[in-house]
Amino acid sequence: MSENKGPMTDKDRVDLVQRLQDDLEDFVAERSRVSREKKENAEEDDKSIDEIAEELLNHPAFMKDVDWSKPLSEEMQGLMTIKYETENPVARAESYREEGNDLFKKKDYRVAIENYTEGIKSNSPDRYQNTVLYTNRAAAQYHLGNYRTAFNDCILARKFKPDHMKAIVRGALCCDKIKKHADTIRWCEAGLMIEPDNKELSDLKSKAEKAKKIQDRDERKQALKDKKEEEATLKLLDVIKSRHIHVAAIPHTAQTAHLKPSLLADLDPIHPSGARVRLDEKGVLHWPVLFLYPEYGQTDFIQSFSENDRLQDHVVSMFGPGVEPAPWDVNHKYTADNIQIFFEDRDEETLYPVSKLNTLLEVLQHKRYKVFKGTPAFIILPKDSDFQQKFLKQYKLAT
Amino acid sequence: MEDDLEKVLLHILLPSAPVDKKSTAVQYLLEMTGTDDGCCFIKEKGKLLEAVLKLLFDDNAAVRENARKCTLNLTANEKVVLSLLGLESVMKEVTVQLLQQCLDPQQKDNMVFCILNNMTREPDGAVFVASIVLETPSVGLPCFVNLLCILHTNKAKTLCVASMLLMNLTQVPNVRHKLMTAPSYLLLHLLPIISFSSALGSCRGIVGTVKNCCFEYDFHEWLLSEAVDLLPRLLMPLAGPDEFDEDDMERLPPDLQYLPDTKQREADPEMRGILIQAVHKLCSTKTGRLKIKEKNTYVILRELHKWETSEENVESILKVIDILISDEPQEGMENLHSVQVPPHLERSFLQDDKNWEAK
Repeated sequence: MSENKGPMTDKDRVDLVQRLQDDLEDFVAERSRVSREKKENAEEDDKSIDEIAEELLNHPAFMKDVDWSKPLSEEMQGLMTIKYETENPVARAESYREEGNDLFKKKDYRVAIENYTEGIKSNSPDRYQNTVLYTNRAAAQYHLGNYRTAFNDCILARKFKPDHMKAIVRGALCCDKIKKHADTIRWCEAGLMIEPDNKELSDLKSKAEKAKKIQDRDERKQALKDKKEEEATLKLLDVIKSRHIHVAAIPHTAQTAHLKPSLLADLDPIHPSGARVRLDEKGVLHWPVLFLYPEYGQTDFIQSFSENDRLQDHVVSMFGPGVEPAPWDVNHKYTADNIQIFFEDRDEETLYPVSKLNTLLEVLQHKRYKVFKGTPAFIILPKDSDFQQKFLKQYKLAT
Repeated sequence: MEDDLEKVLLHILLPSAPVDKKSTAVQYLLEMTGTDDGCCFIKEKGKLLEAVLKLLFDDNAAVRENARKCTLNLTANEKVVLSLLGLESVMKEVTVQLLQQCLDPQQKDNMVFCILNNMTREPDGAVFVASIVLETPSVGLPCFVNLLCILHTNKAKTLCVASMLLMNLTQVPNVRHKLMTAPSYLLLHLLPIISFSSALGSCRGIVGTVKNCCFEYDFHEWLLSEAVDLLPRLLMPLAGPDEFDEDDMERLPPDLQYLPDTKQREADPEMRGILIQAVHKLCSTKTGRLKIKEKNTYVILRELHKWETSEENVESILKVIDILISDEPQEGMENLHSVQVPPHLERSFLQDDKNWEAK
């Protein structure tokens, strides 16, 4: 009221009071109306006491367990920041160590390892603390089956404290799992020097000593076997060379006796049976032999053909009288008397005829004969046939 | 005359005597010990012996050396040792002092060992020294075993004589027992020395100790058990680069299987002999015999027999092979060492031996 109409009369006073009361009533009514509206519209805010209690569980002050798979609540994140990002590395490491130990007890090894790793990263100046962190991480890795990693942690643990028994025992156990018996024995001995009565270590040492004996024995056995194989191979190569048989790709020189067995690969056949030339107890070579039938694109594989056998012997047993002709031999032309044998000189594109009365050795010793892929091969053609004439035209024929 | 000599010597042999006089006296005595008569003379005079013993640890190096050489010569004589043992209290003190010096890994004097070796060669002396060793912790058996291990690691030259002292002591049964019983099972610490010595001659005493321990028949089972695994250790120096067929090979202990063709046998025939005798001893009980047969020891000995150059060893090997290929003896005769040989058979066996040797 800007105007001053003189002092307040009683009536004015009563009016003012009335006006103030009305204002107050209106205000209260308004607020009630608003709050009622709110109540009607916001039903989700209406929670039971159980629901509220449940929500509180997610509050870091009340949480018993952390579900690490869900994103942390803001409160949790805040608390963790306070706990872990302290300036003091010893305390930081200690926190992570305790956390790790709790998880270890619950067999949650993976997360325990993460905690120990964080503890290690704190670079605490306390040596013992580092030893324990590495040792505990090693134990967790061990229980996950990561024995090599665990072993590395044991080594690191001992760098901080060489005589830490738990690290030594764990290290010995790791070596045992990896089957490095000599190392197991050494770690056990290191431990037994500190604790001579440690039964776990002395038992482990005995076990490793026994295993090592067996391992050494097996190594010696294998070495002997390898040696014998090498000797047999060298002998075989020697015999072949002394027969003056040309094997393709092996240089035909005086150094054959000193050949490394890997060069024997030149005698490795490609036939699926894996049959290869061998020397028997009487000093006779037996070769795998291929008969090729270009007319029908067929082959026959003879697994063991003695060098002293005549070609005729095998021909008769394969194509002789009384033997069923081969299924592809539709015209029955491939009989013992009717077939001719040749070998091919690829370099000169020449076909050399071979007498069936020759032994395999005699043929192999032909100065133009070369053994490819450790398997002597021969071309078989029926005498005086059209095919033979056509085929022979492709080559020069030697006599 | 003799008494005068004794009086004069005694006077100047006192530790408090002037050095040059002491020295001369000791030298004189040393020269006396060169002959048997001289030794006998000294032996009779207990006081002279005592005097020399007291000078073993004299301050003067020359006196000490001569006193030691003198004692060494004296103790080489059996009868003198017996007299010495009579001087109980002095001997006890001197023995402890000698032992203490021996057990110092750094000391390099062979002579202190040799004196004790001389003393312990015969059973009486061995018993005397052994009782001191077993009763005095500062010079006890663990110290000995520890010393031998250190000497071996350091490749010390005193290893040989030190090991022989232990071997002499194992003439006494209690010493053997102590080596093979809990808590320390001292013998186990000595076995690696045999396994890791390229030439057993340097630790001949240890090989001898092991053989002596094989005389304890009750311990055969333990000796051949996995804990000790004595058999492969005895056989390894006797095994050569031989190749056996698979069945034979797989029956051998793993250590002895598939030995490389560079494997060489122990070069010293005496050492081989001791090892063979040890195996022989182990065969005298049934448990020992069965274990040894089971491990196909026969093939190792067979090859050794073909290779062996020493006649004495050849005979020993044949004795063991004989036991291994024969059937088990009948009941009551399983422990070969306690079999009663009837007198008439004993006579004929001895006669056979004589005939064999005469060949």
